[in-house]
Amino acid sequence: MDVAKLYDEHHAALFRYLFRLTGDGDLAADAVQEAFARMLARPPRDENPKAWLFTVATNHIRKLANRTKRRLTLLSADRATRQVGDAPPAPDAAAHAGQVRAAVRVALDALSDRERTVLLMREEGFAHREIADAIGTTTGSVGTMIARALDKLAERLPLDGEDMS
Amino acid sequence: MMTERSTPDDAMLVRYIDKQASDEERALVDAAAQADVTIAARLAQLQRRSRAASTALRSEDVPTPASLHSFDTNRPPTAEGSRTWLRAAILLGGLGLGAFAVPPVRAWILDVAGIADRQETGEAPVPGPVPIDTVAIFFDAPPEFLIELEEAQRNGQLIVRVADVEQASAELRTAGGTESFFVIPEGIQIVNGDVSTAEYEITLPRSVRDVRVRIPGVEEVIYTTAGNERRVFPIGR
Repeated sequence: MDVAKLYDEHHAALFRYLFRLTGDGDLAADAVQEAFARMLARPPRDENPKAWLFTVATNHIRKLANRTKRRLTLLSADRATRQVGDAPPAPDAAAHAGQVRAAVRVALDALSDRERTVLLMREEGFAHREIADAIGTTTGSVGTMIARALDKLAERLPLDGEDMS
Repeated sequence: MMTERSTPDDAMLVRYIDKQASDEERALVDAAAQADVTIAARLAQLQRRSRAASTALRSEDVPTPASLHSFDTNRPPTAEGSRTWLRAAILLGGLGLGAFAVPPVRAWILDVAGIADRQETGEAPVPGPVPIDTVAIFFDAPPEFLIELEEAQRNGQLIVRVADVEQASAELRTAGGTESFFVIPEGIQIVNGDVSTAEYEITLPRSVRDVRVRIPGVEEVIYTTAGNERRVFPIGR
């Protein structure tokens, strides 16, 4: 198993998914490392290493959350608006973008952990079967959870017509 | 997945939108959407929300995972971080790569996998990540030491020894299992499964006074190390 190649192919998507799941960059980075460390220590027999990595990382996050007896904490609206990456755009545009990001954070926080996991794995292109395997449920439940997650998001975000951008 | 329902439910509509519905399901959704404005409206609503949710998620500012390329060596040690570093150290140590350094993750993977530029330089390749049957780790132990198993196993045993050593160590003997250790501030956690049959040997320095052994479904054992040089705990169900 070419772990370095798998790392190149999947670490960015895995980090993006975990960051959206937890809202915590450090935690997301740790979970990425954990998943690859496990892959190195015990190469999986799984024929779908991407799904395996996402499953291991998700379980790692869940384990940490259970251990500390707390729900996964998402970024606060204040942190969510912090600018990272490219040079800052014009103040008005930056403020608007910050508001959108904060709203997305709040909306994601309103989902249950499972709904958020399902929605975000779907966003990364996983099939319902793969998501079901990852969280230990049926494909039917995955579809139901996605629909419920979209409905919940729509209560907090203008998903039904108004432009988010 | 085809059901006997004549009306598609939300799960089927989402599979339809995600292009994961079977031919039969697609035909059912198409027919239902033609015949029933409520279903057509719900389908359109889910499609709209799905697209908008993707757009909204992409608007989120996901930072570049810089820590995955260049670790911050000044980062305060957290339980999670310590475990990751520890695991990296174990892997490097176990593969004979010398003292544990602080490599970027990708370089670390290349090192551990033995596929770095050694091939170009003609150096002998380091053994790859073959399944290993024994893992040993070393760590500092607090005076009151906790050993916690995540699950009661199918079979196996836990041996706890006290010896003239400076650091605690934990050794795992397994036959292709997926068990591992997590060092926690209070001691060590054994990450196992209910089908595990692995054996664990924990060696503690004499600075450890009290040991607590916590196994799910078994009454917690607390004992002092004085006079208890070696104790064996069956951990099978």
